Amino acid sequence: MIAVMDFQKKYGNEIVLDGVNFVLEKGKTLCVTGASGSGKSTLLRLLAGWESPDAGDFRIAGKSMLHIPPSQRKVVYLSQEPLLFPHLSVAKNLSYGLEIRRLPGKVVRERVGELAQRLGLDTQLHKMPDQLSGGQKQRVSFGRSLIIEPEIFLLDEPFASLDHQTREEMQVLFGELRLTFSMTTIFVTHDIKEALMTADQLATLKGGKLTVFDQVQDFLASPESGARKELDFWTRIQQLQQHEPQQ
Amino acid sequence: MKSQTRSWQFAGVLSLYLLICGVPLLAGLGYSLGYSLGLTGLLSQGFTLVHWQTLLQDTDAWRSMGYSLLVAAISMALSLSLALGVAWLHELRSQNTLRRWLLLPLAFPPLVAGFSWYYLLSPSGFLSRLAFHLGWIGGIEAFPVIVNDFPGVGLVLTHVFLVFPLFALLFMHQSAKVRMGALWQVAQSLGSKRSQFLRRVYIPLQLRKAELLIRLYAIFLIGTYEVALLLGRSSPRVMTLYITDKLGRFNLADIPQGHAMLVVYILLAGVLAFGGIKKYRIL
Amino acid sequence: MMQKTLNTLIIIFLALPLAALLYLSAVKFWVYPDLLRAHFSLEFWSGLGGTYSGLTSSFALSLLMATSISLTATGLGFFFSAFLLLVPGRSTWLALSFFPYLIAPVSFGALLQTYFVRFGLSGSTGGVWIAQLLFVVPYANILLSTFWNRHIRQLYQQAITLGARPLQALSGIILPLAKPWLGLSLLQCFLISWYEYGITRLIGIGKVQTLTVGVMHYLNEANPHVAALAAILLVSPVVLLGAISYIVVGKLSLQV
Repeated sequence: MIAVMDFQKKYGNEIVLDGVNFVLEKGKTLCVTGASGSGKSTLLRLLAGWESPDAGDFRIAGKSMLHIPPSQRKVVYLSQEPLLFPHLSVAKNLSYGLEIRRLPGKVVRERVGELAQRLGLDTQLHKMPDQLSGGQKQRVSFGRSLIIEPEIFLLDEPFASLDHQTREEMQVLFGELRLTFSMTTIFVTHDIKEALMTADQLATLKGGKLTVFDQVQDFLASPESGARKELDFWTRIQQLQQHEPQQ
Repeated sequence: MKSQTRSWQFAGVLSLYLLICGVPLLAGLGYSLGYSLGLTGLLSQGFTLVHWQTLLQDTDAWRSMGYSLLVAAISMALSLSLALGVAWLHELRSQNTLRRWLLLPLAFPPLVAGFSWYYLLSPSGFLSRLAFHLGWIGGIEAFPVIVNDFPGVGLVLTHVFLVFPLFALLFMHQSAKVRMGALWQVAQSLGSKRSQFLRRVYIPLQLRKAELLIRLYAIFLIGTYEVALLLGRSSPRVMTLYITDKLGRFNLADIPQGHAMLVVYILLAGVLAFGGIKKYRIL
Repeated sequence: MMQKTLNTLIIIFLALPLAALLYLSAVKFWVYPDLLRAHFSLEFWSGLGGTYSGLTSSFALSLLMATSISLTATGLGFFFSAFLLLVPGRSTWLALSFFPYLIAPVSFGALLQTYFVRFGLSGSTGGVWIAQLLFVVPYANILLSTFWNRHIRQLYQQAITLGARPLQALSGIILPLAKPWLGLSLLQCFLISWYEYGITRLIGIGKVQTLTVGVMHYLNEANPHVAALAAILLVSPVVLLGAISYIVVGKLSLQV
């Protein structure tokens, strides 16, 4: 279980996070929605250890992470761009986390082979990142993180740069992976539909405050989540379609 | 505790950076300014503007500055014209042999280029001997003086040798990047003549894209030293020679003027460079 | 036809200085109007091991100085350019490093001279080395700062997030990606030091005999033949490098 307690962060006079609290159970996904600049990415950067909060604590299984360097937190941050290492092949990208932990070559090869097969990358292993499509790059990025079995995945709008079709494919793949690997994930997105598809728990960040919703209905009904507006929009489209005269 | 250690490390590295990349220049500049204002130096008698007044009244100093600017401007104009011409001809018909030869001057330090051109252009040099053997001149005295001369023909020619190839290569590269050949075809289909295309598209486009480098090379030429040492003359002389002459003199009264000119030169280079450099996003 | 003539003229213009140096280094008693009929001799070349062994030691000194300065400046430049990413107001700090692009080395030498005299560094090889380094490090810093950008920083963080220690991320991810920049910086810094004359003259006060100082020394002695030999030694590493890369790679690696 992970717990974030009273996280606060200011940049100059601007309060970005103002007492953020939440608890997330192991294997679950928390989706955080919010407008651009609402502090979603800051929250993830604090959890990853790239920045320190001004106050508050962040615990994994009861242990505070604040003084643990990013490389030892077992918290993987994945951003919009897949950020593959451009000079390493797909296989080398996948095995990076194992190789720096100096695992025996045989173990590394086995795990890479197994994971590549599950991700549909077994025929791409020899390729360089610039030879892959956007979706394939994201698969490698996921695989590279999954292979080290982290405690938490922090996903910062991971599919935002993909085209519509690939994005949907990746959303489905993520859904499968999180169940198969029992991933504990904090997923940041501004896409309400994506949030509804992927989340076990929903939250919205606004004015530095995080509102966590117990029920999906609460999320949908809340004016802060923005879901109401989006639902209204689609309802109107549906109504328009129904009233359209049949050709 | 840890964050305090980090702050110290941070301050330490920043100090080291300043010590290497900032202090020497600023300390030197401060010393020269102080010297020129009578605040330091062997004959220092306290603050005075007399050395600056002497510099401002020294026609030799003004001529030196004007001469440096003029030589740099002519060298740059010739280099750019030649480079634009070569790159345009290359666009019409690719010349890989020429491209390879254009790399050769990059192997020449200014000192060696100055030396070579001195022995090519001097009255007893190669071209004079060649002219003699071809029967164009009757002897050494008939060959025009183009080294250590006033217009600085040798000086400018050596600068062109050093600078033009780089710009020719740059313009060829830029041409390929913006697909100049395709642009020329489009212009032709719109009814443009070659001269119109060159004047309205090719030249402005090339120069605009190379603006930063042109500026930097112009500054480089204003600060010419080795080439001017070999091919320039003692009066008027370029700014760097004026400075080193004044600073290296046994007459101690000349030294403050040398320092004042050094300050002027550095300020001039700074103004020429930073007047608009931000827009290039180099910094 | 006209283009071919123009090309030939340009090639002659570009080749003349090198031809002149080769010629001058292979003749002696060069009296006017000797040109094709002259006293050709390899005396100066063979003198490299004996009479003119000073040139060989100047070559070694220049090589040692340029190599060590290039390595040190690139190392420091890489370190500083990475560090400046963390400093607020990066562009202002970076602007301090811009001066080697703007002012002539001889002016920098003139600015430093008094301090070097005061610290007893004037006229010593160590002094020239430090003065050249102070000129070259900012140059390397500016050049290498073009490597660092948001993407590189993110890749570094990605490696850390996957469990790499900072040194592992540096050696496994950053350095391989920075290779072309480091190579360019090493080459440029080497050439600045290798070609340098102004700083060496003012700080070395003639006691530090690098190759460029050697060229000027022999010119002042009105011995253009040995000066030409020294000049060829100065030009040769870059010409040879270009020629080798042309032969080996099949095309000039310096292609722009």
